[in-house]
Amino acid sequence: MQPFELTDLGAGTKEMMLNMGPQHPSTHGVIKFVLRMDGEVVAALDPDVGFLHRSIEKIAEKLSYPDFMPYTDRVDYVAAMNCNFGYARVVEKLMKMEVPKRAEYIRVIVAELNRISSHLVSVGTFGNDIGAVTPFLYAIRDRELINDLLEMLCGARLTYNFVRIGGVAFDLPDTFKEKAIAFLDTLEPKLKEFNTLLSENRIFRERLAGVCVISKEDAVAYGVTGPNLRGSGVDWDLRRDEPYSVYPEVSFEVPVGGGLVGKVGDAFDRYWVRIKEMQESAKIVRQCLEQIPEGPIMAKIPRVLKPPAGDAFDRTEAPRGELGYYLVSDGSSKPQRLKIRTGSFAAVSIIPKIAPGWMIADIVALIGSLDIIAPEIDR
Amino acid sequence: MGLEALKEEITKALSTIVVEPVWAEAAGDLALHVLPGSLKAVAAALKGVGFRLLLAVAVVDEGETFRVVYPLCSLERRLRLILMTSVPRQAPDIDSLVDVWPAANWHEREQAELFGVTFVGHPDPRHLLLPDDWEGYPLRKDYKEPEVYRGISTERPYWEDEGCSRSN
Amino acid sequence: MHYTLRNKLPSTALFTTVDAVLNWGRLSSLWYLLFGTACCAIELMQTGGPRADLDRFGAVFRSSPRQSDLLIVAGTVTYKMASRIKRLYEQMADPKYVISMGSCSNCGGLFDLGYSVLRGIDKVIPVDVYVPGCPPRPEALTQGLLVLQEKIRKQRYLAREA
Repeated sequence: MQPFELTDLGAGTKEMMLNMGPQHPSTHGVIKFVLRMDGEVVAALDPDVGFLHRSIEKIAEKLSYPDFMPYTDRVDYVAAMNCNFGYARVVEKLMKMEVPKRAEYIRVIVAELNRISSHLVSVGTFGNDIGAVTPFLYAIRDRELINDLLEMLCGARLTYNFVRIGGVAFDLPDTFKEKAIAFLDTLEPKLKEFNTLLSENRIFRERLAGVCVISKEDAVAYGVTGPNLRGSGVDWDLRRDEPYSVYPEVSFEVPVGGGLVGKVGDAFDRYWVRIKEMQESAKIVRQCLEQIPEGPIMAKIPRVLKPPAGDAFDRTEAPRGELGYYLVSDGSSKPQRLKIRTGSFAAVSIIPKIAPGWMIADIVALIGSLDIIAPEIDR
Repeated sequence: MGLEALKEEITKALSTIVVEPVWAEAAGDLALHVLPGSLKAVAAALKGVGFRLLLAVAVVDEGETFRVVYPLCSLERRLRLILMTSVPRQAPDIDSLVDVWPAANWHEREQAELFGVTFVGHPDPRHLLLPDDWEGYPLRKDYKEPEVYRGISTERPYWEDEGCSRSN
Repeated sequence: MHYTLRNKLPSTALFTTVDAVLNWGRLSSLWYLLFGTACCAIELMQTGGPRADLDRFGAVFRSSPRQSDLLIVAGTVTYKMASRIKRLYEQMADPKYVISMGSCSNCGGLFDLGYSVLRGIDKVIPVDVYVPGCPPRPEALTQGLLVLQEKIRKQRYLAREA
């Protein structure tokens, strides 16, 4: 497919302003898009964000370092473990803290399980946006199983507050390993079933082939990261290229978009990278469950955390792109400044660049395939 | 690539635009501090070295000055760098880097409305997150919340009345 | 509607059984607006999903406020969003009900420390049922719906005031 070129047909038509959101089923949360339409074709698009600006960065300056952890859950509530993980890492980096090996393994296990559940929401709602309602129900059915596993660990289903500065809150329960392996055993056939429903569905494939292509150069220039960047054909994954935690000790592939049905970087590529990543995450969890050593789960930390004055920037690979925390400490028990860099923020900022020329129905595919989520944009 | 080798290469790249780099360290990462006047030229030179990915723009309120931080990354060469500059609080004007990195567009819009700094030459200096009629710059340290916003009281009913504010 | 009906009828008529029928109809088809502002939206989604299955109680989601009877305010409401929620509520046809889901929309919750968060959706629109939790589990939201149904069951539209 190609974007349309807008030409004046001389029919005396006028452009129309169209508001999409903040309450719209396919904007994935409270985001508003102001579209200037020429018939069905988008002439310009202006995202209006900030409906969920919850001042998390200001709150960080009011609370002590450990007290802020629950707020990181809510930076990206679909992948809360990954956000916990990133925040714990940046404070540890500033304090030059060593985390016990077992804690690192548990962190990777929960982060990857959370990545699977996040991608399930992503591909499920994407199908729903395009018009396939059934796969959505399959996806959230499978997601419940991961919620059960994580609930077993920390008692919460969505906002876990599980990773702590210096380790994790609880050790794995006795039956966790067998239950997790039982889940992973069922995940493979379920993904296969999901693929027959959606990925191999001819309507779905042809609907997305070549739609809303993001080129490599644009993706990098606009700071798009994570599965969206890989969907554009850039082979970059922090877990492999700037390895952190215990990722060097496990083996996994990094799926990259290859224009399977259309062009490299189209909506289907971004979708397909996520499906592949779920399989890779399952692989990582399996290896971690095998390799996990015995030992303590918390480093020895002082009662009041006072990191030395200075800056630290650390980023991790979250399901929606690179999640970076820029932390400035003045030596007291509260951060002087905490800036949170999220994947969705960059992903939305590229939409006005890509959208013109595509039909309004394709914009829904673009938004769905970028997997944006409101709290990550607004914070 | 070691930090020293990277330092040397950047120093060489910056020598053509007559900028003497000031180096710092941020928890293991290399940080480069430049004067606001040379920011744009330095940014372009760094892009030439390979830093094509701008990850964020963060303003830090440091009392008399605002420090502006640009974490950068090079995908091909797997390098990291933090570019910084400081501007006085009284005249917080910073050159916009949208021409160098398009990603700076939204980041600068966001920081401008939260801190009240001005990115000179920004193509689209509107509010991003806050409503258009918002008053004040909330992420400044001396920000005071209004008592009423559009007729809605902003009072906190539970915590501060009983002297058990969570914020201290 | 019921005021005009009541005025046209003789003063001896009793309508309690019709009330019961009307209430039964209303409480058994609470169509909620597909609308989530923050974290609670994911739990709302899971509640509508296969395991908790809100459909059992006659609650299905609609994408348009015009077709909905129930507004579940699922998540944090900021000042920027507040006026939009009010408008959504005004667009819904009577009779309409509101469930405030989660601490944030009950009272600001965790985010009452922030500068941009509305401290309770009840400052903007009337609320029928408050569901506590951050976020509430699907069971809690289901309970909230059942409580609302009980509330509707006791409503009196046509019966004469004493």
